[in-house]
Amino acid sequence: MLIEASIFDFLAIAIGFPVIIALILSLGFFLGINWNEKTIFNVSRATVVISSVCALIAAMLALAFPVDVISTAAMPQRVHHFGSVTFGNNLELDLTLVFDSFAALFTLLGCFLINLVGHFSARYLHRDAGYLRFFVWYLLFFAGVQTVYMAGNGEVLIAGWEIVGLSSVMLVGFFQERVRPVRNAWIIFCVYRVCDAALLLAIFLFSVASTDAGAFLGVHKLATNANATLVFGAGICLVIAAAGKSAQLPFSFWLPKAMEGPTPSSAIFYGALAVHCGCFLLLRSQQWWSEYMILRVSIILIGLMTALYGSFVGRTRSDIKNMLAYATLAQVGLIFMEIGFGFTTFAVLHMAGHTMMRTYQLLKSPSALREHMNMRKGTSVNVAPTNFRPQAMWIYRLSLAQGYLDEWIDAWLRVPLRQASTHAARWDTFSASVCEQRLARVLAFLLRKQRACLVDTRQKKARELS
Amino acid sequence: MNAWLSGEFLKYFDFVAVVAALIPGLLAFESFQRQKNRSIWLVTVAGALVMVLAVVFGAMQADRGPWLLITAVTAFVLVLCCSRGAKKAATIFKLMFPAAAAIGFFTVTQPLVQLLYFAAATLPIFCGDASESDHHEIPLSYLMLQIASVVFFALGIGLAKLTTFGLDQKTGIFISESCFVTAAWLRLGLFPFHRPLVAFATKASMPAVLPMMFFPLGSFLMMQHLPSLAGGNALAAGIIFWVSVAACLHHGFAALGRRKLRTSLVYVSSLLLSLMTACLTINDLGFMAGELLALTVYTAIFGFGLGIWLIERRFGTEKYLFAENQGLGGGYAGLAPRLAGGFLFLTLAMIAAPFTVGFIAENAWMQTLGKESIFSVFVVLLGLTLASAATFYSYQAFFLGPQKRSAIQCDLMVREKLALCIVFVVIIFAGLGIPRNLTQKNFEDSSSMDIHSNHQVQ
Repeated sequence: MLIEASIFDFLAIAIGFPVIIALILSLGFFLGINWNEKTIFNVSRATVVISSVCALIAAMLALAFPVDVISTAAMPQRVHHFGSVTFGNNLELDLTLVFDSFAALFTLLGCFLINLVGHFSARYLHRDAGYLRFFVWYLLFFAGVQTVYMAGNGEVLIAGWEIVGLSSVMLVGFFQERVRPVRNAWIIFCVYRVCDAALLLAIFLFSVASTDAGAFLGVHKLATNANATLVFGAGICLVIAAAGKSAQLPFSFWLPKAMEGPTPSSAIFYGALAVHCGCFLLLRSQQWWSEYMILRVSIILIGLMTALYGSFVGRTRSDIKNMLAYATLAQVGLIFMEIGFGFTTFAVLHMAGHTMMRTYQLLKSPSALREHMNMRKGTSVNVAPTNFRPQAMWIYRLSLAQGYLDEWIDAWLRVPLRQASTHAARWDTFSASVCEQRLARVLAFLLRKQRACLVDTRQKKARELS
Repeated sequence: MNAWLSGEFLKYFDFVAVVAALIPGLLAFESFQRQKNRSIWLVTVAGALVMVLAVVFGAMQADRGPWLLITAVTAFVLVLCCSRGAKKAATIFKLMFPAAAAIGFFTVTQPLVQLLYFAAATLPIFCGDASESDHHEIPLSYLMLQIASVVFFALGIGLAKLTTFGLDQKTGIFISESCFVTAAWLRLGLFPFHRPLVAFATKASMPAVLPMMFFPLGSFLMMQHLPSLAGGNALAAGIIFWVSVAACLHHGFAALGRRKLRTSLVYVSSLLLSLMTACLTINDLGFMAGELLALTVYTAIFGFGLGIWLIERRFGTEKYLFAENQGLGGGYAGLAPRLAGGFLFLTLAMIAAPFTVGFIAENAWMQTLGKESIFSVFVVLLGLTLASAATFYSYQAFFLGPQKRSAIQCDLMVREKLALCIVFVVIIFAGLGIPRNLTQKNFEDSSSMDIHSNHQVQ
């Protein structure tokens, strides 16, 4: 019991410590402290290292002291309920963490990559005006992604999920004096909010269908008496949330836009951890949605289409970060397919490998041209890839226009939404002005009447007097 | 000592609240305005502190503790933000008056005294808006709306007291409750009466005071009467529920179509208030969620309004056009980075991000609305998503983008930082503190006002 509590205390430190430090750094800045780069970096590095060590100790303790259940897994699932906030008699907000081999693997992988990117960022962002801003969001992202990996129930999951999204958006708009990053950040924010809403709806529908909220993330098995229709509805929402977060079709348009952020954040968010959150969610909840063939097929189809889309469009890109973004799309699409087919272990390995490789590629991307020139000098061979054959021109054109995805989204979503909102606002203004005019007329009429009455009375009095 | 322990001293709190409001009221006198700026400011802060202390003691005992506490804290924050100087004395008075009226309203239990406070809260509106400038312009429709809300409140009290209409008791209660709910509905400016509020928000020059005036009193009144009205009449409950849910969607769309921070604030707050109203129509569970929403949303709206006020003081009101119209963003983050950071946090609170006060209520309202209809949850979520997109856009459009070259550095002053810090603390900790300690009560206790108990006894 003591070991159990110790493991989760370490995990709570791993999640909570970066949040506290991020709050202290931001509050200090807000109150007028001008933190220098060295302090910011040292504090952030120390925080991430301490949190990583805590996570590592927790994982080692969990390995050394397995739970007393008959299980073939190296690290059986441990669930810890920290407490709950209750509202009245019926409403309850639980704080539960879960730790098993799956969570441990991704937690440690995340710690390693975040440490690595932190070191890289210290030099990459040297003398940048947003140095503190970057590290604050970096720490919050660290806490958010750990929360997603260790979430034991829907409420904790959505908290981590939203923090990951917010930090991602804020770092896309990191170069805030330029227009494009700011606009792209808003577009990504909108996509993430849709994903958040879908996930919230999934959690809610699941909680209505089954009283056991822990089953949502595979903590318990789904009860047999659960409402199948609602669980299926929750599954659809879950797939939408996962597809949005992992930039699968039809949400793929946001990932290349997200590359406007600084390279370290692109590496850690869109090469490594954030873009795989959708896959992680699907894997975590696989136990209940995999019962529905329609959901499995739709996940496979989404993955397949995105993989094709990513690989075709990526070949027509002329800049390295965009090319990597589409390559990521293609790989994540493949991971989706693996999850849909039920190859869980393969998908986990693929995720881990892809995460490492893509982080490396993105971190190297600023010096890609130099590397290329060096290679040409050394080998005297033109290593530029050849892309498409002339016979496949229509595919080339389609890929060059990114599958007209932006235009589709504009025509089918952005423009109708904008029109609807403009109509709503105009209708409000129109109805109000009509009402106000009528009200003013009635008041003016009443005033005229009253004045006429007064005049009449005065005239009557005058007549009587005369 | 025994009096303190038994809570007898609580009966003096309404008196204390009004006295506390009168201290800054001294500032309105011309003779006092000749005093040094610093002394005026100190007296004002002292007055606000007296009010806060009175309410802190009250909050420990009274059933309406959270409302008292939050209203007092917000009043204190507003006063703290006011500039020093004799010219601002009238503004402080106008700020403190609605706050004192709200505190009085929460403290007393006599309906007639409540009516007085309810009417008095709008007094600064009748004197002109609670503005810092000399420009007093109040839309006629808003004025009429407030008068109508007071009239309906008075009608509600009268109908509850009078049994001479030949109506049976149940019908009498239903009519009086309907009057109270209508009064609250008008005070909050809920759909379809939200337009006057938008007009008022556009013309008033201090947006932070808006929620102070209409929100606490209206919400509290709604919480007192809507559950019993909905419990007694399923048809009325159904109509109110679906109108509120539809209003959530409408306000979400309208917020996205707006191009000013102030109107955006009004639409988003109207959306959240509609959500609260929808929750309150559902018994027991709905009351918990409604109360939680009301308290958390008030904090978030107040913070956002305060942020807008601080922005306006620096950059004026005419510069709220969105980036899209100009082709560029506002770019004020470079000039006022601390204000930008602070406003970002307030924006995140408004969109119910984690670690903020709004996040805690999300689960509550979803579970509540889900009891009535799953479709309504979907509709409200859609409205909230649109509203959050509009809110975040407003932050971006104002602060981000290419930096203005001609503008001067104009970041937050010390007292403004202090005021914002208080708001941050409330936003972070209210989410953790309010649910556990303050909503654990049976809604039947608080929803039945004295007048009804009297009525039932008769």
